[in-house]
Parts: sequence; C-alpha cells; structure tokens
Amino acid sequence: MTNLDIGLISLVAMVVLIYGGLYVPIALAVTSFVGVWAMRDSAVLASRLLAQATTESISSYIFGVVPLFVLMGLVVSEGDIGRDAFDVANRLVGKLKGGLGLATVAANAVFAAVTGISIASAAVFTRVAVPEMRRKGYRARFAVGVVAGSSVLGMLIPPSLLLILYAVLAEVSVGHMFIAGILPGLLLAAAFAAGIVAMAHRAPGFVGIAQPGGSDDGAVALIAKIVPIAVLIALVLGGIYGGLFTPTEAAAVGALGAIVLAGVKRRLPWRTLWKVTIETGHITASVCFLIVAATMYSRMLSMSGLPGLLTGWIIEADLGLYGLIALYVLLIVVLGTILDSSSILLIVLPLMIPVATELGIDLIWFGIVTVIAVEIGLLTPPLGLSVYVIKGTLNDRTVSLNDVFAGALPFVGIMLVVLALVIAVPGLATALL
Amino acid sequence: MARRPSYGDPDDGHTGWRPLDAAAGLFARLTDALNAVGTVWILAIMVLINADVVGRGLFGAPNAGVPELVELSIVGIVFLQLASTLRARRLARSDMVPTLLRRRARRLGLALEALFNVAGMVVVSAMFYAGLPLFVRAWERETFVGAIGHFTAPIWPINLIILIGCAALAVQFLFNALICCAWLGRGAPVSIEAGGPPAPPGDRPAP
Repeated sequence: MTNLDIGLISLVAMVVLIYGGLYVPIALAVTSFVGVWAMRDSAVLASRLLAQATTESISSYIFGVVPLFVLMGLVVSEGDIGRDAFDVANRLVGKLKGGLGLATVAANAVFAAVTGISIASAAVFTRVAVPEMRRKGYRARFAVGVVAGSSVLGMLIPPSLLLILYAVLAEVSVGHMFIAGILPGLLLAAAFAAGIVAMAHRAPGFVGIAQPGGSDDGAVALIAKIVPIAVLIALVLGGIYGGLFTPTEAAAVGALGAIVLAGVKRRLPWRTLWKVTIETGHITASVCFLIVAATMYSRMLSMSGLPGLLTGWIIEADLGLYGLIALYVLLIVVLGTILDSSSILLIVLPLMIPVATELGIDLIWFGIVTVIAVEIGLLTPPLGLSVYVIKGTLNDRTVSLNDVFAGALPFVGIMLVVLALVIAVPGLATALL
Repeated sequence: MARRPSYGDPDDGHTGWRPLDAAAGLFARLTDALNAVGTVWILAIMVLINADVVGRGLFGAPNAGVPELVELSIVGIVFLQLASTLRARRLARSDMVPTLLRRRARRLGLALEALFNVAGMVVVSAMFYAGLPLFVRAWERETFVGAIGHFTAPIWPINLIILIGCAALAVQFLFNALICCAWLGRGAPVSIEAGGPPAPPGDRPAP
C-alpha cells in the first residue's frame, strides 16, 4: 500500500468512527497513530508523534486566549449584561413594527462583542427576549427563530472562539481574523434586521400580530445600562486594534473586567463565579484536546501526501474558485448536521488549508467563509446545537423542537445570502485589515 | 457533538454493584480535585496577565516571563481538566448513532459504548507512555523555558501534569467502560428516559 492509500483509509475510518459516536479527539488520535505506524512501519515514530502533539501543540502563548475569552463570555452571560443590552435596544427600536425582533438582533450584536460563544448568546436571549416577545403577542416560532438566528452573531463578531480556532489552525493572526469578522458580522446583523422588518410587514402570520414593545427607561437608566458594556467592548476590541494589548492580554483584561462589573452589580456571587470557571475549564479542555488530536491528524495527512493529491484533483477538475468554494461550503454544512463547530474545523481545515494556500486563496477571507458556513450548521436539523440549547433553556412544552427549527429557517436563508455576498465581495472580510 | 451521551456516564452511573459504585465515587473526588486546581489556575493566569498589563502600563515595569508562564499554564490547565470533562460529558462526539441505538438496540448500544471507552483508554494510555520519557528527560536535564538571567521556569512540572492528566483520563475511560459492562450484565433498563436530547437550562456544550 502506498502512503496515499493509507492516508485515505485512515480518513475514511476516522469519518466512520466519528459518525458512529466515538469521541472526536479519540477518533482523530487513533486513526492518525495507526496511519503513521503503517506508513513508516514504526511504532516508535508513531508514539513520538503522539508525545510531540501532546506536549507541544497547545503549549503556546496564544492559547491563553481560549480559557480567558470563554470565561469572559460566561461571566457576562451570568451577569445579566445581555438583558441590559436588550433593555436599551428595546427602548430605542422596540416601538417599530417587529421592533422586539430588531431589539433582539441589536442586543445580540452588542453582546457578541463581549462574548465569543454562540451557545452562550442563545441561552441568554432565550431567557431575556423570548418571554418579552411572547408577552407582546409575537408568535413563539418567530420569537425563538429570531434568537436562534441572531445567536450566530456571537461567533462572527469578535471576540470569537471559532475565529481563534481558525487562526490557530490556518496559522494566521488572531487579531487579523477578529478584524475580518467585523464587517461580515455587522452585515449579517443588518440583514437579519431587514429580514425581520420585511417579515413583519409581509408575513404577519409568521411573526404574529404584536403590540409595540419599548420601555419607559429614562435616559439616565439607559446610560447606566449601556456604559459598562461599552467600556468592556472598548477595553477588549479597542485594546487589540489600538495595538495596546495582545489578544491574550485583551482576553485577560476583559475577563477580569467582566468579573468586576458583574461583581459591582452584585450579580456574580462567589459560587456562580466558581461554577462558570469550572465550565470554562471544561470547554477549554474539550477544545484544546481536540487541537492536540488534530495536530496528529494533520501530521498524518501531510505524511500521506493527501492534501497534495487533493490539490491536484481540484486543479484538474477545473472547478474554478466559486465551484470549489460552493463544494466546500456544502461539505461543511453537511458535516454541521451532526458535528459541533470546533470538530468540523479540526477535521476539514488540515485537509483544506494546504489546498487553499496552494491555490493562492486569501486565508483570512477563507476563514470568514468557513466560520459562516459552520454557523449555518448550528441552525439546521437534525442536530443544530443552538436550536437544542434554545429548546432546553426555554423549557416550554408548547414549543417543539420543530418550531424552533422552522422559526430559524428564514434566518438560515438570510445567512446563505450573506455568505454568498462575502464570497462574491471578499473585501467585506479584508477591507479593514 | 458535545452533547450528552446516552449512557456510560458515571454521573448517573449507579450500577447497583456496590464496589464499582464506590470506586467510581471515590475516583470522582480525585477528578474534582484536579478540576479545582485547574479552575484556580485559570483565575490565577487571568490575574497574572492583568498584573503584567497594569505594571507595564502604569509603572513601565513588565513582569518577566508572563508569556512563558501562560504557555506552560495552558497545557497544565487542559490536562488537569480532561478527566472531569469526560465525566461531565463534555468531550466532543456525535451522539446520533448512540441515541438511535439506545432506543432500538439497547444492548448493542451499551456494548459499543463500552468499546468506545476502551478505545479511549488505550489511546490515552499510549499518550501516557509516549509522554513518560519526556518527563524523565525534562527532570534529569532540568530543562527550562525562558532565558537565563531574565526569567526561567522548569518544564518538568508540566510534563508531570500531562502524565497525571492522561492517567486520570485513562482511568475515567476505564470506569465508563466498566459501568457499561455492569449495565450490560444487569440487563434491566436503568432509569434512562427515552426522548430527545435537549440539554437542560444553562447547559453549554463546547461550541
């Protein structure tokens, strides 16, 4: 057997094992280990690879951002900062037609600038926005759909765990990925808002006949609610873009800032802080263990020569850039039906980054396309993660899982449109760099 | 998919077989302790980096070695948490087939689950053995990071933590496998309600 054969067999075995339900990092590690062993006929070499991946792959200053940004995101979720953002947005646009939907999108966009996990946004706004929308007469499907759709902003608007992960895997700068996420994120938010207004006018049956929202908060109350969030955003994003902080430092400052803020507001008892830090540890361990395993897998792949072969095929097939990207997006969306976002990145990127580099594709732009495509998987059946989180958080028997998927469907359509725009106009991702 | 697997989880792992339950419970204390150390470590890193930022910004006096410490710490934090992460069902996996099997062919599902956990144990044990010589070398040669005269930190503690983490994770996989086997042996269904897999409130699986 040639190395290519072995590489292909390992790849197929890995996909089968993962679909079968084996832990993703274990599936990656076991197929890579056996693959390298078979290719080099040396168990010693294979275990050296194992050791190297274990000790070296995550031992880097940049990985400090993972626990710290996750911690910051979880703290702001616990600290009711999402509710503050929603209150302010509701006061500003709530009285418009479909206004509470708009408020949810706006609050999510702001919240996304202080958190990097879609799941956190989904959970927070299910608690904050859905009850308010239903009270005002919006249909349940629409209410949960808005929350599901706008929760994906969390991963596109920096800071974002997925952008960090992509940067690490593609060996581009985290700061650049963050900057590249801004315009597409804002565009997606604007597209969601436009979609909501259109639906409120054209499809009142889907949206529901709603009373206007809004609140009577005075100017002082509004400012008191928005200033802390603004300070956090300025610290973290301003710090990175201003060149004041490295992303890791910005994450540490942001995490401590969020803790102090929530503490001052007396919304973060010690017990809760401990709980979210444990949660942070679990997410960090899960993601980083995936990276350890993906390192072995990507070494195995490059030993097998598979990425080179794939590049050859793609050039030969003469798909053109758009054909290739279309296939790539399709692959990711299909994987997204059963896998979580970080696993998808770790499986697909070691294969695709060499191809993209070879074809001269801009890796920053490619990353934004990847992340939007991955996020679509969060909203699509059978296993859209955000949808499950919303259903779980809602705890309401009258709203079925299908309702949430159906409600999210228009937003999936909008995401596809925005994805097509970003593909057609790469400047959306790269203009600010 | 980082969601709850259907079984093979020690959290609801009361198999009714006392020695196993007791041993799993005892081991859970250990993983909790490792987890607690890792948790404090995250907060410590946060404070350390902030101190560095403030020191640099206000007093023009950066703490030497912060990047090196962060670099080592992230490895320590991850490996201390791994066993606890597995026990909390947070290790990424796709649960479509396991969920299906749970409903249609429970015994087959349990057997597969046991097999998967054994696979995990084997892989992580291999990581342990591969990491052992690295620890020995780091210990004997007193390898360090940083630059002499500026800041240095020995790396053997991190190699040791990797070994501890791998060992704990391997044992956790073993317990999971044993619990599946115990359920297989008992035959009777254990309070696993059929139904969709939605996560409870506040549950945030790895994104």
